[in-house]
Amino acid sequence: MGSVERHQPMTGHGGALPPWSAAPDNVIPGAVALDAVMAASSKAVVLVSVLWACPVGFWYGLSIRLREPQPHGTPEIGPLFEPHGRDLESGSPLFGAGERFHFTLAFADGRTPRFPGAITAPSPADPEPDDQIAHRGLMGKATAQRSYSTWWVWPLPPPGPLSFLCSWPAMAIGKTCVEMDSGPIRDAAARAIELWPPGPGHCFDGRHGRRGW
Amino acid sequence: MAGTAVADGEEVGFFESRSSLPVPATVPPIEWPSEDILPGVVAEVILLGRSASAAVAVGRFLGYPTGFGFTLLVRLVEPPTGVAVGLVEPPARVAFRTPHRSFRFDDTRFPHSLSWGRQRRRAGLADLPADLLRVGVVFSDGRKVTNLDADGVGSGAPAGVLNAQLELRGAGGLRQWDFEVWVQPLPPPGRLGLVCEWPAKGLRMSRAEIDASRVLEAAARAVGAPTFV
Repeated sequence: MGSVERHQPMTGHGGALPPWSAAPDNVIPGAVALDAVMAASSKAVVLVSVLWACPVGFWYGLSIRLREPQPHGTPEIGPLFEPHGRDLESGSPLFGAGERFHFTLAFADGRTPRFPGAITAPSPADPEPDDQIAHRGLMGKATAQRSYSTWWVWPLPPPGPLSFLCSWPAMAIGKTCVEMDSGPIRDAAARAIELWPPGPGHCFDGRHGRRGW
Repeated sequence: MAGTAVADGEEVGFFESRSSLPVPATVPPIEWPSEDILPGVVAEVILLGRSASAAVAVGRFLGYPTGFGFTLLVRLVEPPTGVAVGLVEPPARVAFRTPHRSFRFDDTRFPHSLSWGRQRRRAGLADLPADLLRVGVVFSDGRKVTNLDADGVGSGAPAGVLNAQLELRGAGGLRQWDFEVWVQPLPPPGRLGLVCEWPAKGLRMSRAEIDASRVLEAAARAVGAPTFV
């Protein structure tokens, strides 16, 4: 089975995207080197790697490896894209409601984002989350046995431990939590460079790039 | 931001000289690192060049037993238009999905890609268009490899290999491009040079350096990926 890739959809709305909606595109971020095993069982291994940070948030990567390939489907490449791991032929969920992969994170002050449930294009009109934390998928790619996705988290975590939590009953993974010191993320954010003022949030709307294919 | 000094405007002709190298008859295979290895990481970013319209940086170096990787970060003030969208390297497959339609394309439709120099070399064409982003790596022993080298093969023997794979990150426009770059083999001790040039964006030839020992130490920290329990 070939690989499957998904990228966060792009919108044609004008105006700058708010920081809870998408990572800024006018910044060279600082690099982070934080890796941890989020969960491991006889059926699956889940890794989290914090990659980049800027003053308004950070990116991390989520890697999943399965012992057995999922027939006709992809492993979870991120709930934003394939909420339940879907069979590529039938489109039906690979896992039952009680067996699905769930993951989230929590700041030291208790903030935790609501679990993302659908593909939504970022928009300048996205409301600020009531819970003051956002967690959005950026891209994902997967084969039947491995997957990788990247995630944007707004805002930066406060001092103290940053927790990544998951459960995946179908893969014999109960509720697990791994903690990281959030200090290196904030340190990396301080090294980021803002290149120019943020621009309008356009656009893969046909005005750019469509010509030629 | 950590980083080493950037020399701007030096080594004029660096990339032009690459475009006149003979195309080798045979090339070694390009092998991306195994997913079963967790690399050591050098959490550093170096701004290679910046102009009124673009910025290019490299960072987050990954050390593996067989080579090293880094991210090439490209930021644009304005999204590229027309075919210039294609900063894309052939191994990369870029897919966009919107609520209404999907896009999937490959390098053949994007002559202004990072690999275009390679393709033109294969075709016997040596000129370098101003809108081609040029990127290269220089080892302390003089070996060089760039995105202009045919099939990623650099000078000297054993040849270096540079290949790139795109990860398009973020949203809100095509102003943010991240390329995952793989270089093979590991560099020798000494200064590891990173160069770029993008005339159409006002980025003159620039070179930055990182101590190769940091990459080598990262490679020594690479471990096998956690396995099933």
